[in-house]
Amino acid sequence: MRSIVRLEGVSKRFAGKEVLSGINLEIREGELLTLLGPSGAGKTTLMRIINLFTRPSEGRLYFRDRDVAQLRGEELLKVRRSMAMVFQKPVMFTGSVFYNVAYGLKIRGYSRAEVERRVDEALRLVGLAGYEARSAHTLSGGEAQRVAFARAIVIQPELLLLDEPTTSLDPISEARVHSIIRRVKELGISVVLTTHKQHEALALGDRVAVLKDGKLQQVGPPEEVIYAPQTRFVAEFTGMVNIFEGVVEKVAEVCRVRVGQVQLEMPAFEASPGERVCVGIRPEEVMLLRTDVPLNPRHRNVLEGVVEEILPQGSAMLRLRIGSGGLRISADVPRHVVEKMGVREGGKVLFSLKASCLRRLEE
Amino acid sequence: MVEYLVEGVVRAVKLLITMDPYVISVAKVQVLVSTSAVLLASATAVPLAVLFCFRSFPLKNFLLTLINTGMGLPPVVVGLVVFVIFMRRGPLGFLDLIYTREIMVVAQFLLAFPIILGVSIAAINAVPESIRETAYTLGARDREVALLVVREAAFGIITGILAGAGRVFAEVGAILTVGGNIAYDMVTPEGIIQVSKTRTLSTAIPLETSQGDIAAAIAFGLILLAITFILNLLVSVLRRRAGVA
Repeated sequence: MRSIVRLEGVSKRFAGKEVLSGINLEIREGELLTLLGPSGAGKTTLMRIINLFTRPSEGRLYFRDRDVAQLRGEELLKVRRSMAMVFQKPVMFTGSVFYNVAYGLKIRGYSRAEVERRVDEALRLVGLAGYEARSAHTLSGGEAQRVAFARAIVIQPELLLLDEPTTSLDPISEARVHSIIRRVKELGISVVLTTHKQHEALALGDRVAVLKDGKLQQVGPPEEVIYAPQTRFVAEFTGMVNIFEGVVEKVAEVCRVRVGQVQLEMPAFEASPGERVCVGIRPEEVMLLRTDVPLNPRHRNVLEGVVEEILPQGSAMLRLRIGSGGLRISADVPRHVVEKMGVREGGKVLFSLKASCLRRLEE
Repeated sequence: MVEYLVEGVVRAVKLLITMDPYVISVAKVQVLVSTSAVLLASATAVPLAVLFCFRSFPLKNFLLTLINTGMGLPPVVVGLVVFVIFMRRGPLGFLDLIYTREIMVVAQFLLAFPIILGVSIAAINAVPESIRETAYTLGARDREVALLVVREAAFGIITGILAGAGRVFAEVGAILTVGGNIAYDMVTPEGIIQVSKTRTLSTAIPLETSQGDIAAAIAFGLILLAITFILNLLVSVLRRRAGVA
């Protein structure tokens, strides 16, 4: 797939403080890349660099294989005009919804008829057909954000930059915006979306790039980022709540790591005995075992523990906090399973940390 | 005492209704001079305000302080300075402008300009940075962004223009000093009438009062009041619309 934007070794310093360092990232044609990271990770700065608002302190920025990092004037404008950006807080120009959506077209010199046709089309896409004459300042936050989307889409950009577009929205407006984003993608527009919400990054992204303290931690398809996080940060940020520090005891086809008083077997990785490592497993991969039937010898890492706490986790799941051998393990189990097995707070449970689901994490 | 006042008001209203040529000529000079001054000040101050806000340059804050000081200049002092510059022996004396309507426009321009400039700068600065950024991301050029920002600041800028107008219509000191408050006699088929050359509503009032023509003074006062009332009404209507928008 052709790349639309490519960053090579991009760093940015503001007043001596490094906000981005050594970013290598490619945005491919037609893809939706989500940029996931906590506040202050440098997501917005990265977006501003791509939109040619901020010049990188170091590195190269390619737009369609052309180095554009140092462009100025009309040349810069030409490149920027093939992109559009939507911000966290929708900024409405004083005037009608039509005025707002038409803005980008008018400054590009489109004819009145063409402007009207395209504005109508864009408003339909965001579900605000017939809103043309409304004053933009009377819109609700969610409607304003959708107008901001229409205003960006109407110019038919090659690349749409969405900087935390759902952060200030309620869940219903957020869902609407998500479906707009999917429709935009169907139009063939490449999208970069920044967010600090892992569910959003994973649900929308063709690929997810995780950013922390100005450095890219991992870039890959959502499944990979969720189930094969490379670093402890990525694991924590994507919901891998069971993370333990341990010592390698054996390195072979199956590695053995001692965590507290518990020995865990897991897939082989490169390490030497005695080395301290960090391992993790996602809460939905912790399996409760029945105690009324003989134990299946396939199960590895079978542990016994006491349920310390049961918390609702969404509508269908419960999160059990289990104490076992000095460890605290969270297990997400369907509500009906918990009921059927008669698990309650203070009771004993048998569970397995499936070996193939345990992963080593870099600090 | 009260009868004297009532009689003055009645005669003043009569002067207005009959469109007394003297009263009308004085009002015309006022409107001509003050409106010209405000229009010229607006035409220069608004673009300068845009430049001021969009460019960074040394001593910007100091300049802003000067502009804000200029908003409160005593009109008499402005009149004096303009007079000294334009008097016969002054540096621009060769232009021979003293006691003309043109010089009155100059003096009132100097009074209105800092107000319109200062208020416009404040209005433009109050437009959120995010408006500019949004326009840039949509592909606007500097000029287009400037136009958009002026549009966003329009209510504030118009308020500034109206405030400038309020000031020049109300002031006496500057136009009296440079204009001289001159009217002359003109012979017409109906008889000799007085016609204003540089006499305005605000300068005519103290003169007529001191000469004992209270009715004329009240007539001028009523016109002036009506003008300032309309200006203030416009300001408050715009303020309210800006508040809603």
